[in-house]
Amino acid sequence: MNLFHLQTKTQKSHSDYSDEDLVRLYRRKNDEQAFSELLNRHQEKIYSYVLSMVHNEEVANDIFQETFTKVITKMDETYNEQGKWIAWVMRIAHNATIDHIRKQKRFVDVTASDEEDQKADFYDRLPDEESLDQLETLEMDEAKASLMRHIAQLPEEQRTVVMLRHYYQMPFKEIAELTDVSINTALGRMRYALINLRKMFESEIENQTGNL
Amino acid sequence: MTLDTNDSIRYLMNEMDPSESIHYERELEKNPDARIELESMRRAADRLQEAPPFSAPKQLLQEVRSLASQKSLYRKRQQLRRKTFQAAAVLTLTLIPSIYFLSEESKRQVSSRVADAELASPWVDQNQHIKLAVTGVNTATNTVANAITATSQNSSNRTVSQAELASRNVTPSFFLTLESEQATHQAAGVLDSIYQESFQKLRPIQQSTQVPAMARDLQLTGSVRN
Repeated sequence: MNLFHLQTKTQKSHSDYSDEDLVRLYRRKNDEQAFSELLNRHQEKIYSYVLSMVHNEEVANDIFQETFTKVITKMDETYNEQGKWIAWVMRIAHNATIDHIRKQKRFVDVTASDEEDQKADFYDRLPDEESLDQLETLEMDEAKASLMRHIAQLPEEQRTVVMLRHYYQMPFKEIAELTDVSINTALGRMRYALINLRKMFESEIENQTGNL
Repeated sequence: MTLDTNDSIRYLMNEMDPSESIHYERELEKNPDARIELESMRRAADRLQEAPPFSAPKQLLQEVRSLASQKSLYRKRQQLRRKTFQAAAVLTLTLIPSIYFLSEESKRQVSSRVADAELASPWVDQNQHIKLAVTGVNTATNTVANAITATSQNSSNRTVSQAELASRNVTPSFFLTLESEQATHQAAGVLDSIYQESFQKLRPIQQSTQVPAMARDLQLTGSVRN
């Protein structure tokens, strides 16, 4: 849809436009409402992904702000309107998150090749207890809090795939591109993440039964 | 079709095309271990769906919106500046050739007039011009003296009579010694008017043979006249 078309349809509210049209309106017509609509539409997915990766609200806020600062300042030069806007934003958010995690790494990481990576058990890594405590500050019921704790205990690579799939419904091809791995590695990470989560759920149930 | 380790995930996450799904389901029927694995993963995946979404704090969203507005404002200014430069460039590109052609045209017209005038009546009046110039300098000396006297009347220590000034030689160094700017301006104005006057007195020569230079078929530039 060209800009002339967009302008003539004045009755149409911003929520009716596609992401691409909103991006065009913001970039070429300086329509701030268009950007606001994009933000409203996608902020939850981006924030949830970042928060589920770092387990800390303050850090998540910083990364979220850093992401959108880059989005706003680099949109004119870097983003070409061929690709999906949200995929481009997601890449920025993902890179910012991974940068933060790598800087603040508190896991004893088991460096592994693709094959080794699939075999590596999540118990090979030490969870960040301080980060897990931060999850308690978020308002949610016990079941959800417990689930988030389990997710937080997954290795970073597996957690990334799980969260990208869950919050974005991102196809595995795109996840593979975003994380710079083959599609089989991305599928393998998802499979191991589900196996690990299942183990955690079972152990949780055992603990609950033991307590009773 | 043999089952690949990642087939269960692809099936579970709807990443298979319909024909692949049918094949996979047929294989599942023959493979109870794969069925068990698929079921356990399905339960984990279902539980994962309960992971709640989180909304960014309102203040944070407001900060992002404000940043977007600032960028928008900056972009508007840039666009306006770009348009101004474009307009200026267009004007310059239009005006420069116009001025050039106009000046060329006026030069052409002037040179043709000069050529016509030279043919009709050549402008050479060397002796009279010199005479006029001498008269002009004398008049200028007197007038400048008047002007300086008038200006210097304001100064208590400096009273210069017209006679004194007239007796002095009026040289460039004399003008440089003048302290009053007003006097200099007045003098310059007077000199200009004198030169204008003397220039207007120039008259075209009717008969070129009466002028010695013309009689020798020489122009003032020294070139030989054809």
